Parts: sequence; C-alpha cells; structure tokens
Amino acid sequence: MTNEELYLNSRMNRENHFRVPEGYFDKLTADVMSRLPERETTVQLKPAAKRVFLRPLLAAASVACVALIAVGVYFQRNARSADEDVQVAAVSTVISDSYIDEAADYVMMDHQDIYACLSGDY
Amino acid sequence: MDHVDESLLLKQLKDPKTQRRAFESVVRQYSEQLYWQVRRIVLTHEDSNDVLQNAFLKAWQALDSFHGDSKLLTWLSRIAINESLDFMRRQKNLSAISTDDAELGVANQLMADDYFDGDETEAQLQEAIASLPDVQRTVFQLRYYDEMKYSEISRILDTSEGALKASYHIAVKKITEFFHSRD
Repeated sequence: MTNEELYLNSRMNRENHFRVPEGYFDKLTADVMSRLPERETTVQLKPAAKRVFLRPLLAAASVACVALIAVGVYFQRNARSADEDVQVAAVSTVISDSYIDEAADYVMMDHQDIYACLSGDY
Repeated sequence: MDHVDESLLLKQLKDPKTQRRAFESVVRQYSEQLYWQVRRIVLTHEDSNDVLQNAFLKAWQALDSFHGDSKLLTWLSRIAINESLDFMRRQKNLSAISTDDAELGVANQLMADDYFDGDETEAQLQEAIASLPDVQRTVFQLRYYDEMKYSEISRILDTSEGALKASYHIAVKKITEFFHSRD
C-alpha cells in the first residue's frame, strides 16, 4: 500500500452515507421482474446429439418422399390420362408437402432450414 | 440469501422454460450489490433505481449473448456500470445546454438529498470523487469501496490491469490533495 493509500485510509472510512427508501430492496426484485417483457423464443435445434440424429432422419425422410413419388409416378404412367396426370401431380404434391410439413412439425424446423440442411448449407 | 450454484443457474437461464424464474433468482441475489455500484456513480436514489432497472432489462434482453465466459456478477456489473456511465454522459450533455441558473454543486445537492446522511465533509468528499473523470472514478470506487481485485475490474471495464492501477493511483492522489486542501 502506498503512503497516499495509507493516508487516505486514515482520513476516509468506507462507511456508506447513501440511504434508500424503507423496504426498497425487499420490493426491488418484484419491481424489476414486472418490467421485463416476455422473451421471444426462437426456434432452436435441439442439442448437438439430437442435431446429429436429425440429419439421417431428414435424409431418410427425403429419400422416402422421392421413393413414394417415383413409385406413384411409375404405377400411374401407363394408365393415366391427361386428367389423371393432373391428379397424380396434385397427389404427389400433397404427399410431398404434407410429409415434409409433418416432418417439419416433428423436428420443429421450417422449410428453409430443411432445404438448407439437405443441401448441406446448414 | 441462498446462493444458487452458478453453473446450475446458467443452465436454467438458457432453458426457455426456466429462464424467467432463474433470472428472478439472479435479480434477487445481485440487485443490491449492483445498486450500490450504480449509486456511487449516479449519486441520487431515483436515478440509480432507473439506471438499475434499465441495466436488468438490458441483461434480460441480452441473455443469449452470455456464454459463461465470465462470472455472472462480472457480466451484470459491466452492464450496470456502462448504463451508469451512459447516464452520466447524458446528464452532462443536458447540463451543457441547460439555460437554468448555475447548477448546485454535488456537495450541495447531496446535503439537500433526503437519502444522504453524511455531513458536509462527506458531501464534499463525494464531490471530489465526482469530479474525477468517469472511468477513473469508477475504478476508484470499485477498488476502494468494493475492494474489488484489479483482475475483476479489468473484466468489467475491459481495460488492462496496468491501466487500472495507474488510474487508481491518480485518483488516490487527487483525493489526497482534497484532504490536504482542507487541513
């Protein structure tokens, strides 16, 4: 300790001369909490262990979708008319979109995340 | 006051389901200590309360940016002190453009304050401390009143320990001169 610090200690004390209203600290926590807004919860991936698991799951889901579409198109190809073409396209679209939607809901990812994941950009 | 294990608290702060309750625990644990850090810079109770509330609001909004690299109190202190210093800068800017009569000195304001019970000497000491540059004053108060280690102050103010020691030494010198001038 320097001489000046020693001198300061002899002239000053650390006594606190500032005061607060009675009960201030008792009410402070409730007061602070009442002013905090709800936090926006962002959709986040589960921890790494589940994230690793998601990739194979999504890959499997996408392969299954493609397989379903391919099978559907194959069996429909020879027998379909112009009207059936439209129906198949609609069914295929419905299958792929609803399947993807269900998978998206399950893993709590939106379409952009899924597409990015599948394309390796995630 | 129960001191919750910090690592458990951090986990709870990251989980949206327990976040709010965990933050309440943080406020309960640290608010008084943070209040006094703010009060010694800002001086009046009303302003200190406002600054502290804003600091906790900012901490709440910035929770995702806290990764446990430092102690929770260090992170909170940093926010609270930055809020205090920002407040003081705004006050100075307002004073600069104020057309009111010459403002009362700090000592006179404190003597008129219901929430200050020191005598005139103590009030003038506070004026001497308040006359220090803001960061130097903060270093002095954290070191002298809170007896904080330089390493901790360094993390709060993001300044090297060498610079802090120099700053503290200058502050001590100035306050010593204040006492000498009264002798």
